Amino acid sequence: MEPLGHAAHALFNSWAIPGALAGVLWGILGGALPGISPSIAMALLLPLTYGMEPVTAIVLLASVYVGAEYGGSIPAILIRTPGTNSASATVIDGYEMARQGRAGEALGISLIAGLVGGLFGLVVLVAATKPLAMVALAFTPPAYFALGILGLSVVAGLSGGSLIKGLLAAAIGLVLATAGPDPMTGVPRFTFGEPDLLAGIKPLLVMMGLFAVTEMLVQIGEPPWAKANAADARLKLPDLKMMKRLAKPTAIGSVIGTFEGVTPGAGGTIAAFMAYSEAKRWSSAPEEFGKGSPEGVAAPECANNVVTATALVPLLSLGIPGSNSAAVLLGGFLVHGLQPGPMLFEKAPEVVYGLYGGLLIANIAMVVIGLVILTPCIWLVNRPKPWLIAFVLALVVTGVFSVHQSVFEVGLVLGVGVLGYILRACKVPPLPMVLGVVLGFMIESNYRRSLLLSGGDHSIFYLDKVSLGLLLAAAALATYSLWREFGERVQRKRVEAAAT
Amino acid sequence: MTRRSGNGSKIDGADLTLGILALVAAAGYLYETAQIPESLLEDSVGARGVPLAIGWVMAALGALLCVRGLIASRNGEPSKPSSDGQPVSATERLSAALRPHLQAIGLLAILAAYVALLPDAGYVASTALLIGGVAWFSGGARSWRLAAIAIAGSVFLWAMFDPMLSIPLPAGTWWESR
Repeated sequence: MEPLGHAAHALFNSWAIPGALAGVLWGILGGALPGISPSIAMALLLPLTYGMEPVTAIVLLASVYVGAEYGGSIPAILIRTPGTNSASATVIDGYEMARQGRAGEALGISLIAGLVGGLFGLVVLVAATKPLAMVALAFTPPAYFALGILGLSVVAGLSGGSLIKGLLAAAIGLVLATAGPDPMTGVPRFTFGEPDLLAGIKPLLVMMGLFAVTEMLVQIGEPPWAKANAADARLKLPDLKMMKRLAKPTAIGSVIGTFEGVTPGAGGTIAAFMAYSEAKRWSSAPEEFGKGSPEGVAAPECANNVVTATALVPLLSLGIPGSNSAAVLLGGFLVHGLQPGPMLFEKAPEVVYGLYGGLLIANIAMVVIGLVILTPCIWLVNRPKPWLIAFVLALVVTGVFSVHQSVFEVGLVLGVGVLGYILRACKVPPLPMVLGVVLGFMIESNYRRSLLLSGGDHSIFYLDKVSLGLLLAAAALATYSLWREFGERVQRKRVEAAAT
Repeated sequence: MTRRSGNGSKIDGADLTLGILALVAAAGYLYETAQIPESLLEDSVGARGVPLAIGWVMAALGALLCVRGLIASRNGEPSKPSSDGQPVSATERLSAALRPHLQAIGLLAILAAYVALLPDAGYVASTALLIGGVAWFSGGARSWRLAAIAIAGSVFLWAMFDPMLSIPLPAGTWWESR
């Protein structure tokens, strides 16, 4: 009962409920705009959360994530352009349904499948997070160091496709994390005489640059998206017969979304495509897939909404964000001086349980707001793209400036945006870099604390069993990533040889 | 775009470029690491220890990328996958490949001008110029509407942050001195 008490107290003694509603609204609108991913929609609000109570800020940001996953399906279904990456699988059957004049039906299925997925994911989140955090409570400094290394290698290995590029991104993130005072001696490092760098580079600035500025630099070179026709879309919720038909793909989406969500680096996009593929395999009418199958909409939409909650399991229990959106949420915690991980349940239980309650409200609000928001979304999708780029950038620079009234930080965010653009052009995944920035301090301080404890003896990292296990897991994952990469290359060469 | 193209591991000419960039960055980082002053509170690792390790890891990764890029080019692997199989001249291909980067550079120039202008011109004027400039540069039609929306947008953002959220935004030294 104590958790319920914490949740109720947090929700009813703060602005968390209005925050959840506003977050879902903002998320749906942001997600509906192609080019605005959930992480960008969240990052744009991040500077505004400075003045809020922690629970309100965290609920607001998490609700944006929930809303954006539904919002992303709107342009995916109406104009064949996924508003978010994870809505890419929805395009296949959602757009076909729209072509057959069933856009409203597809949107209704997306909404209900998203609700089921979101609630299922929330149950998994509540059930899995605390036990995992309790295990992590026993962690020593060497184990924390090893956990940081494991987090970096998991995300570097799984989020990109090339382990070397993933590790390089993580190294760049660590480079940025070392700017500022040395964690043990306080000696300034890499500040170049710039007073604004004396406190280090805030993860918030890296996220704003890497997600929002980089995306706008990419978007300006992309062709405009198609126009949506408001007359095509009258949202229609599935009836009982349809709900029965959708039970199996929704269950498949729930299981896959759970597995992919708790795996750092996997994320909603992979979950959505896997759920689509498995739903087709287990369907009694697989021939309808690709031709406007409702099951082809339900499975990916359910899976990516499960991920919105389950991706928070490694974040809340271990402090490791497994997706871009979870990384921005971590930024929200850091802004309020909270470090996600096992101690969060001890230090700020009201935030954790308030977040659970907020997610429940957000998922229900998604359906209510989703029923009425379609027309404004279509209006927004039809705005000229130049205005989207202009206003997003204006919001970014204003938000960044508002944090410390520093023009230098605005310039720094633009610099990170350029770095992100170059890395993206070279197909380097951004998430390991963000992770490097947010985990850099934890890795360095625990590494040095461990060596202080052992008198400079590195054997402490393999004498501590948890540390040894985590480091072995990191090595195994790196080996697996290399093996997979090598296998893909061999297979590609075989295909090319067969083609010639 | 990572959204549709994904971050595939296909080896291309970018590996070599990225590898060289990583090596240069690692060299600069290691040089700067050497400039970190020693502290009287120094532990066994010291303030330079971890940055040194990161610098060398980065250099090793850069070297690996260079080797991979060189092997790929020696094996004659295509530096860029052909897009649609249609014969396209090298100039056209280069021009099409460069266009989005040039647009990004243009956008960046507007943003850099904004950063330079903000303290002197103040928030409202420079943000109106930013919104209007970016919208126009991104393909928005040059009209009175563009100017009106840019000014209205800037005033709206100012009103939201300054009076409503009590976050002071720069008034501009040009206007203060008059």
